[in-house]
Amino acid sequence: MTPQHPPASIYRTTEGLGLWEHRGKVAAVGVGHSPTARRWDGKPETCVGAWSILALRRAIADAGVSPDQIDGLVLDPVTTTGAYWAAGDPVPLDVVNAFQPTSDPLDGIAKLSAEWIVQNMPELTNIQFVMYGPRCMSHAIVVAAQAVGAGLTHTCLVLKSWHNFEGRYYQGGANAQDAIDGTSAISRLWGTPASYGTAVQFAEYCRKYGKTHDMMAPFISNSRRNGLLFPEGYWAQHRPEPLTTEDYLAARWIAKPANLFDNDIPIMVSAAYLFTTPERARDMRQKPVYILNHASSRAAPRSLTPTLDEVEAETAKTGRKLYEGAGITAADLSFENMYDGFTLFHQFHLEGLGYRGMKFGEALDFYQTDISITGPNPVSPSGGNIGSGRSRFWMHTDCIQQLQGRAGARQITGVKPEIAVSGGPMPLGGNFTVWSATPA
Amino acid sequence: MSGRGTIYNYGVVYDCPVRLLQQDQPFNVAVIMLDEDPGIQMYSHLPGTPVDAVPVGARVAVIFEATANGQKVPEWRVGSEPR
Repeated sequence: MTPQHPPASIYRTTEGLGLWEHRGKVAAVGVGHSPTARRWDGKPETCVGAWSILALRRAIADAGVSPDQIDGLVLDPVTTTGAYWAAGDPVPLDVVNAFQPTSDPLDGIAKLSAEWIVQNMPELTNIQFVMYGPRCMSHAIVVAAQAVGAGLTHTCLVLKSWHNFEGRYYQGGANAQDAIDGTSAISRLWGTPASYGTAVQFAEYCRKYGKTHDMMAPFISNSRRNGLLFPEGYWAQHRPEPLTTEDYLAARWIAKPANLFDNDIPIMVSAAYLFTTPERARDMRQKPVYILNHASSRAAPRSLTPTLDEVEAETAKTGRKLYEGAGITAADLSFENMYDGFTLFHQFHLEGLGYRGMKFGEALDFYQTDISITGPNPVSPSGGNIGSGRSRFWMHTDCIQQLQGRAGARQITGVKPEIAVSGGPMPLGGNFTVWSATPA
Repeated sequence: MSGRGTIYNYGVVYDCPVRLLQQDQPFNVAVIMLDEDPGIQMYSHLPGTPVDAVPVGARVAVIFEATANGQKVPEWRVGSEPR
């Protein structure tokens, strides 16, 4: 069982491909989450490996399958939120020895191999297919969907996990040194935080369309409100505080026009889904949610940071690809759960999709209307990263649970949940999925 | 290259991940587009331009400035000649 990296051929990156060949033939059934934490407390039972096992076992139980039926695993071996194990720091052997280790002592602590998972989940006796889905759950979903559709696996676990250690976000490593060398100096020498690129795209957006940063406030409050209804999320579990317009407008700047609440909070968390075929899903515990299409953006900016023109061209292309492969139009979307970490690009995704007939430059006005889970035009009912912490998977969990009718207090009521879209991360460079309550 | 360009866009950094630059916060980071090809961008702190008072669309010229550790980097100044 040697993990494979996905071949380029699986990604639907161009228009004109027609309906996805596996449309409606892959189903998400089980969902499992670990608890959340701001940072790792150093205990074996809360390391990223332990929480991955917990999420996987919960997804298996949720789907109601026997572990020996599972023949596939897709995961991201990189688990960092931006925090790295410092070179020279002693490895906590009590944690290493609490598990079946691999040759890398940081496996299960600061990274996660498929080998580590299989060694530490002896009940997974029938894994035949393992593939990596790098960077985030959005990517892993595409890989798993294509694998199930192609018959490479019939019952596949999809896992994404994050670790977070002490220290401030991205302030270690090269950023803490006295010199910056190599090609990274071209951008790093100017000291831009992660949200800078999105912030300047948003600044251009505001200049072009006559919008202002304060118009983001309803979106931010809506996201936190929805997140507080997500019992698996960080804010609901640890800091159940509403986020008001006043809070948002008073927040300190990070990279103006991006403030603190335009950035998501890095956390530790794992999530797992169980994908299978519609035939096998019939015998499982939860209602299947069908995948109608996936699409990927592999566009790169011409220079240091994408221009607004580049962003708008690519999000519109992503929307067209999603609809073409799913055989739907924007009017078929019950709700949207596009990525939000950073908040200031969520409107690019929305406008590219043409959600509720939206055109470029209109999203911030749309935010001033009813975008709640009880209205006819839900925006980010998951609450996303802003509502539940930086995982890049709340949006997918929410799509599955909403379409299964088991999103609990977060269940949308103003529109019947039939078809939804989620994905990210970036407008240029991401993976996106169309979900449906029915296979066609 | 003429060493001339235009300010295309900017943000103001208040929370910098690079330790050596944190003492200068907040500071401008502008996106410069080169005259020879506006599709090619360079960043600049725009020395001499007050924080958050960046004239988008203004003409700029390249200069070379030493950073805290003596490393020379290309910067851009509003309305000056290349040097």
